[in-house]
Amino acid sequence: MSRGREVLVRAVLTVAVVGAFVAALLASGYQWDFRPIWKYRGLYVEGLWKTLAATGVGYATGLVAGVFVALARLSRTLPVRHLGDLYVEIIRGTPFLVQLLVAYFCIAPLLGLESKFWIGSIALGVFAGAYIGEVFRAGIESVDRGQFEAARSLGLSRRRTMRHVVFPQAFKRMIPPLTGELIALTKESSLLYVIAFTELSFAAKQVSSRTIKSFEAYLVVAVLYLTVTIPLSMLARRLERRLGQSARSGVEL
Amino acid sequence: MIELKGISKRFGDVVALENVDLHVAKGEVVVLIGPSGSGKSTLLRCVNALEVPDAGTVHLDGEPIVGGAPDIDRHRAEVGMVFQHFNLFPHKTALENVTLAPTLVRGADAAAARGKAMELLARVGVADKRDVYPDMLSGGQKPRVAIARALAMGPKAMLFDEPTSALDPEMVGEVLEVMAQLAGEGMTMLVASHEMGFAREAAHRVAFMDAGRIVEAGPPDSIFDRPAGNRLKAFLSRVDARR
Repeated sequence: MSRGREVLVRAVLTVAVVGAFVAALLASGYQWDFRPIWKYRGLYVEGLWKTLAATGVGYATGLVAGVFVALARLSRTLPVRHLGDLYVEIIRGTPFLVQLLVAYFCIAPLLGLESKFWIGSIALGVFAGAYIGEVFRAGIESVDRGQFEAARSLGLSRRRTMRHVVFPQAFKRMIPPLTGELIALTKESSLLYVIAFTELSFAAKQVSSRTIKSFEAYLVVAVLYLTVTIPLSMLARRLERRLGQSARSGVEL
Repeated sequence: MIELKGISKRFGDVVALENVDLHVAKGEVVVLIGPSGSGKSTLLRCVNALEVPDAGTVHLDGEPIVGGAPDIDRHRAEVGMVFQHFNLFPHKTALENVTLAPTLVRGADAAAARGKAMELLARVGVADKRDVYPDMLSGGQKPRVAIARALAMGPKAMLFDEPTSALDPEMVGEVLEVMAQLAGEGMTMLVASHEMGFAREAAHRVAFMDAGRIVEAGPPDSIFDRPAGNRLKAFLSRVDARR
C-alpha cells in the first residue's frame, strides 16, 4: 500500500472511531455540561504543568540511574553485577504504587524530605531507572561482539572501544525504546495523586468532586494525557523509520 | 617475528589447541589449513591476545605478549587483523573506518590520517568508496576496506582469519589478489584459509592443523604434492573432491 493511501485510510478510521465514541456519548441521554469544568481550567493547567515537570525530572533521574544500572549489570565484577541485578529485580517486581508509598511514608520522613514534587519525581526516577537501565544494557549487548574485537585488535583501549565503536551503535537502537519509556512514565506519574501531589489526575479528581461532573472532568484529563503521549509516540515512530527499522519490514499476520 | 611456543587452549571440555609451536619469520607468509574446528582461528587469535592461551608463550618481534592493559593495546596495534566477517564499523564511512585507530591510538593529525587512508584505499582498489558506509559496500569491497583499516596502523604483521570464506565465489579471486600483492611486498602474514590455490601460490610455508595440533608443516609443494601423513592426505582429497 502506498504511503499516501495509508495515511488517508488511517485518518478516515480515526475520525470514524472518535466520531462513533462521541455519538455514543451524546446519545446516552446524559446532560453534558462542560461549563463548570471550564471554570476550573486553572487546576488542569497547573496539573498538566506538574505532570510534565515530575515526568521530566523523573525521566532525567531515570536516565542517570539507568546508566549506572547498565554499567553495573555489564560489570566484570560479580558483586557489582549482583547489586545491579537486585535493583532491577526489586523495582520491576513491585508495583510503582507500592514503591511510591514506601518512598513517601518510610524513606522521605527518614531523610527529612517534605516536598511532594521531589519525593514523587525521585520515586519516578528510581522506578524508570530499572527499565531504562535494561534498555541501555540490551542496546549495548545487541552490538556484535566482532565490533568489540575489531576495535581491540586495532589497539583501541576498552574505554575507547566503548566510546567510539560500541556506544554509537547501541545508542541508535535505544532511541525508540527510550521514547517508549518516556511515554510510559508520563502515564505512571498519574499515581502521584495518591500522595496528594497536584498533578493532572489529581486535578481531575478535584474538579470532579467540586463540580459533580465526573464524566466531563475525566474525559478532559484523558484528552490532555493524549495530547502529550500521541506526539511522543509519533516522534518515536518517525525516529524508528529514520533509523531504518520500519515496523513494516517485519512479518505481517 | 611471531613466535608461538607450547600454546594450549581449552574451551570448557573442548581442546582447541594442544601444545602448538609456530614461528613466522619476518616477511614470511604462513598459511594454516585444516578442517573447521581444527584450531586455526584460535591460534590466530592468540597472536593478538583476543584469546589468552592457558599455557605457552607468544612473542612478537622478540617481545612477550602478556596480560596488562597498556602493553596489550600496544601489541595489538602492531598486528593487523582481518576477520572472517570483516567487522567493519557500520556507523563509519570506509574512510572513517580506516582513520579511526590511527587518530585515536597513534594520535595522528586528522588530515595526515586521511591522506594515508586514501593512499591505502587506493592501493586496495576502493578509493572511490571513501564516503560509503559498510552496508552499501559489495561483498568484495568489504574485505578490502578491512585490509586497509588494518594496514593503516602500520602493522609489523598481518593476521587473516578465513577472509574469503564469507564471500561469494566470484569475489574470492580479487581479494586473494590483494593479499598476494601484500605478501609480495614483504608483509609478514599468518593466514587461516580454505583456499588451497592461494596457499600454494602465496605461502612460503603451509601448516596443516587437525584437532588442535599442527600435524604437518612445510613448503607448499611438499605439503600438497607429497603429503606424509594419512590425516593430511584425507583432508586434501576431501578438499579436492569439493572442487
